[in-house]
Amino acid sequence: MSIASVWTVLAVQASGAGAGEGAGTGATGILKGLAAYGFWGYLVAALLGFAILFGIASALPILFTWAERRVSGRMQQRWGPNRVGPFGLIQALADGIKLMFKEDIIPAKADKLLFMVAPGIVLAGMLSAFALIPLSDSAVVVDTPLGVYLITALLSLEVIGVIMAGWASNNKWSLFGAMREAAQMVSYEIPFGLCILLAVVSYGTLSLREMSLAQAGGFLNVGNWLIFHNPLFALPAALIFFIAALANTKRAPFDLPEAESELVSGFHTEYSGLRFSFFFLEEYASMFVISVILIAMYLGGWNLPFVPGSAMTGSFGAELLAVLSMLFKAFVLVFVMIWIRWTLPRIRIDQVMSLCYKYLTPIAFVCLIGTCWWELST
Amino acid sequence: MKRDGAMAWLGNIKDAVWSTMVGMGITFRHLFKKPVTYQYPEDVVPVATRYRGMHFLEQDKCIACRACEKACPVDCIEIRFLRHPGSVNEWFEFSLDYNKCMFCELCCSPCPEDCIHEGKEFGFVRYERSELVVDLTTWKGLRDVDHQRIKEAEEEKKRKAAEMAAKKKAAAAKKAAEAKAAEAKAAEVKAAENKTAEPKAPEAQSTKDKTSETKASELKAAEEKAETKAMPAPSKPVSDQAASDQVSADPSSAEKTADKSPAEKASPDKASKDSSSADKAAPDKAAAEPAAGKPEAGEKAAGKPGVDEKVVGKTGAGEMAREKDEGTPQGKPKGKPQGKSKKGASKKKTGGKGKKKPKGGGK
Amino acid sequence: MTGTFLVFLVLCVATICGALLTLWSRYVVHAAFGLMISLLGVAGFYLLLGSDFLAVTQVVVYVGGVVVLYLFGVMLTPPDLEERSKKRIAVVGGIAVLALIGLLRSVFQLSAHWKNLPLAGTKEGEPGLIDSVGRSFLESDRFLLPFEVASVLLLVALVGAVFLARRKVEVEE
Repeated sequence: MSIASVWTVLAVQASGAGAGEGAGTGATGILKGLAAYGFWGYLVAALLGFAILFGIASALPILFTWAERRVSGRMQQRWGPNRVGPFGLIQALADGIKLMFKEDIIPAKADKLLFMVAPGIVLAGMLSAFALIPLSDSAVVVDTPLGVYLITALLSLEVIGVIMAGWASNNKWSLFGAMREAAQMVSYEIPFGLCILLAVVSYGTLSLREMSLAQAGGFLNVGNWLIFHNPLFALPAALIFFIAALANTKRAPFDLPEAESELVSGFHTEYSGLRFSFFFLEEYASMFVISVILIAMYLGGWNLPFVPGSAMTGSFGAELLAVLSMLFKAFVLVFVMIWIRWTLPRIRIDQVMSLCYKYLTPIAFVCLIGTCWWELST
Repeated sequence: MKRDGAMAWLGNIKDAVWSTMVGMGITFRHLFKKPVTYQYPEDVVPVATRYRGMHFLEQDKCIACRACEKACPVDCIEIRFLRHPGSVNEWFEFSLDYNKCMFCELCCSPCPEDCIHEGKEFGFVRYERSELVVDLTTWKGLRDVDHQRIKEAEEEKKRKAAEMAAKKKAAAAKKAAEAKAAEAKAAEVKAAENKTAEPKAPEAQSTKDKTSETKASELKAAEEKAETKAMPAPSKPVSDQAASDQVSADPSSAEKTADKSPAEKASPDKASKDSSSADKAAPDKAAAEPAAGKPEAGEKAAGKPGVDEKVVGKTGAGEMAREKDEGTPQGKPKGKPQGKSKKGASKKKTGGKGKKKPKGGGK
Repeated sequence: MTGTFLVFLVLCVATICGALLTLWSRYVVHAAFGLMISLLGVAGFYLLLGSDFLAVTQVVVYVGGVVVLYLFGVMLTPPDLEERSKKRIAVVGGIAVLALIGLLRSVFQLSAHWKNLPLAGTKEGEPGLIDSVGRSFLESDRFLLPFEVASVLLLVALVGAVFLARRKVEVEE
């Protein structure tokens, strides 16, 4: 199962390493240097990148689950976890360890192979997407000109895993969850893709790194952020992207695939132990990935107000500042996602569909055409 | 309002965005409110005033009359004692089976000494069923937490008793005018006698009680009432204890003890027993008597010189206080069947201080 | 070179096995997943050929879209099918795969410049193949006509689908 994830990441990274031009700094530089040694260089570079990514991608969810539980607790005037470690910070780590040692139960009537492979596919898509997100000018493991398009493709792999899990469980709740996931994801990829297209049209590139670079400068150094540069169309598009991202990450109010109150636990009802934690990991890690994509496209990337763009690239310190800025923005967006989850009730499946096809898609189209006009006229 | 076509579409968007923002505003405001959680093992959830929890036995007052044992509908109380004809029964086991107990509080009402109460402790989590059979004499089977709570309850009870005494004193002072002052002299002497008869009566306790009394007497009746209400979770049992404390604390308690001991139960007009017999019985009880109750004896005696009158007055005040604390007298409608009837009889006999009784009943 | 060859072999095995699984699987859902493997293998070939954009498009359209839609329909079938329908579906699936392969092949035969197309990142000044793909589609002297015809075909399919969906509603009324 992890072979699947390794395989995908390898493929992505091999392609990325091949397409990258010149030597960067930091981890990317090392990876690119290794990639210069032919195929085996690629392999080593890819494995190294995989290890780094896996570390990051497992550490972030720990933080996010903690944040989710604390924030939701405070919103409901509870404390949330506060026993394990300071402020309950390592509660999620404790839960992770617990999950690791739990029995991995495979139902007798389940389709064993698919049941086992499904979490790997889900995780593989997310991990590979992790490789492509730029945290600063050089802090990007794989920098390919395909950028955001490749990320979309990898995130769409996740649906396959979810459907596979739902079907292989041989459980009616899981199947319902998988069906909802399929319907929801296929639908929401349209506004999602249109909003990406809007950014691509604006910048003339698919690379998130280049998009972020392009947003430096302007009035107070925020004038070139897409939502300020083109407020009439990009602002609603950013909102639509955010809503579609919520649906794509199965976050409330679009958490129909797991809808606890109706479907027990949706597509991962039958999962336990480590395999369950993969789904869990994927949800929280993809929150981060989606946030970074939104930031890189619409919210100025790593650029900060009042800080000139040149101060964010080049030296190690500048790159560090950029990474911190990106992380800060991503955490804010993740917080908003948590905030929304604990504010809005889950909506019905027909409402999900009508929201997508009657509201988000037309508005996204209008925004896209408007942006084309805007970019051509200015 | 009905919208159609494009207006409906736009209106829906407006509604969705607006309602989401309102909702998020609400959750954001709640983010900064203080959590209402009680973090259980550390913070104890305050239970209702009339909560019926683990029993609390005033061991020094119990006379092993087995009234509670008989009253218990599920037979969860078991008392083992030695009979001493003519004196108080000596009991050595008072076990309560919490596997059976349903916290009906029926054991508390018939107690003539008002010594068994249901407290506020609600933690009955044990690893074995056998651990739920608690011996109230040794508190065997209780955890440290329980012991601590019981200690706290006892302290609370003492405090309450002092307060109640002060209140009573103030009420008495108001009512009995200067005639009382003259009588007080004589009573003072008696109180002194009492005190000497006691093996130990801590000075500190008595002074503390006195100060609180003097302070309380200055307050108006309404203020006193408010004060009692503001007390942190004054449990019913505790207030009962406080009330009963006064009854048991004065010299006549010994007499009453004698009353209810099985040997002497037969005679109905025990209340008319003179103070000499009370004094005689006092040393027996005094050894076990809580120190808190004692000092009040003098005070109370000061208020009402006659033994019979004293008993009457006390009953009235006790009931009054109880009703005040609880809001309703429902918890214990017939506080002590035996004692009450006796006191009623005694009241009729004396008739003199009848003033107080109607007041207490009317409250 | 050996590494690339190894990858090529793995991709070959994956693609062919996926296709065979699609043909002979007992479960329709397995067949769909076999198709997915096969399509992913094809995407791998594109990647190996340096055609990043095409590979990603393959994943987005076929794996993320078509297979998901297949699964969406197929998942509602019970896991144990009758022998007859198994065979029939295997045959239909086989024909579909063959048709797909044929279609793909014909498309690239149509382009006819397969060998002459530049590999990704090899051409100087090109950010990747996206640029060249875009240009070849939208420059009037190259593939503008097939591109537009294909889009019109998709539009017709879309309108047809909407029409079918609408008619049902009218019948209900």
